[in-house]
Amino acid sequence: MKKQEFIERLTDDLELEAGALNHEESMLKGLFTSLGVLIIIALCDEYFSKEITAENIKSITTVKSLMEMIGMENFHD
Amino acid sequence: MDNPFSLSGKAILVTGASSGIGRQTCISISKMGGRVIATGRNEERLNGTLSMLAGNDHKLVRAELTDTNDMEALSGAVQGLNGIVHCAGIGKYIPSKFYKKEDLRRFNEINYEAPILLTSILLRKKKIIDNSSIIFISSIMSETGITGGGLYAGTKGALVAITRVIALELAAKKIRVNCISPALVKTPLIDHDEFRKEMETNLEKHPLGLGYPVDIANCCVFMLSDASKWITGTNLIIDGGYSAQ
Repeated sequence: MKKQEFIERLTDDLELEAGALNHEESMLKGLFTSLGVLIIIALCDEYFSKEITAENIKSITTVKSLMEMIGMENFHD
Repeated sequence: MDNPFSLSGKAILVTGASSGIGRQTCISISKMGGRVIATGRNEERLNGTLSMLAGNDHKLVRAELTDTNDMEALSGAVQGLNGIVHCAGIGKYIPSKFYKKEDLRRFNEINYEAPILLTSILLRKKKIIDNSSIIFISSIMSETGITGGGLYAGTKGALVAITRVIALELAAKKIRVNCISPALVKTPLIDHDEFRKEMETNLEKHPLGLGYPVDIANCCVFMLSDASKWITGTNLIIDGGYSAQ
């Protein structure tokens, strides 16, 4: 998946304002509600068949760190 | 004086008997003198349950309850049941906009269809004798919402609804049908990271703290025993005060 497409989908799925996440270094930490955590888990499963846990999510700080958890091989420019 | 809470002489089928609430229910039934027929998917873990039971007149029947052949085989392997505790179930938190047909089907198949179809087959084959007690393990989510728990809640609410109907149909035979609805109980089902976070978040919402499988098993013993012979069609909530607020 294109990195930009992922950022847009992430913004949309988390129902953030357009542009709230605009690059890989955008901060995710602090944006997570309990529903947000479940949404991250579900989208990783749906888009990448990647199982991550609520515990894993604690270590996510930026969009990039989420992408690294999913695996950078799944993304391209 | 006879102890109305005793399960002596009663044969009880328990599904989901290989762990959690199901395993503890088997143990508690055996300690109260009941004879357990334990069923579940994993024979090794069922044997683990069997090794923990008091007395030795128990048996296990390995069965995948979503498999029609296994269900038929199970219904053929039991007779003269005085009670059933339907404990088998799955849980997973999924936000509503990520629901998928296969998830819905899986939840329905395991949490709702399997216990209902098994009950139906056993009734049809006259394997459940008069004055028996059938218990469906539902959930506090049948009454209150928890973010992400929709698919689970739907199946558990369905159990509560159908319980009332089956209770009416079987009342003439004095067969009682009830749900038990626990709040958060420490079981392997919730011993995963995603649930652990939920558990930490929810701890303060349970005035008496989180529950243990034995808390639910004790209520099953009561509902299986003659002490509850005037209770049918109900949903007994066991939640450490969760819904009192």
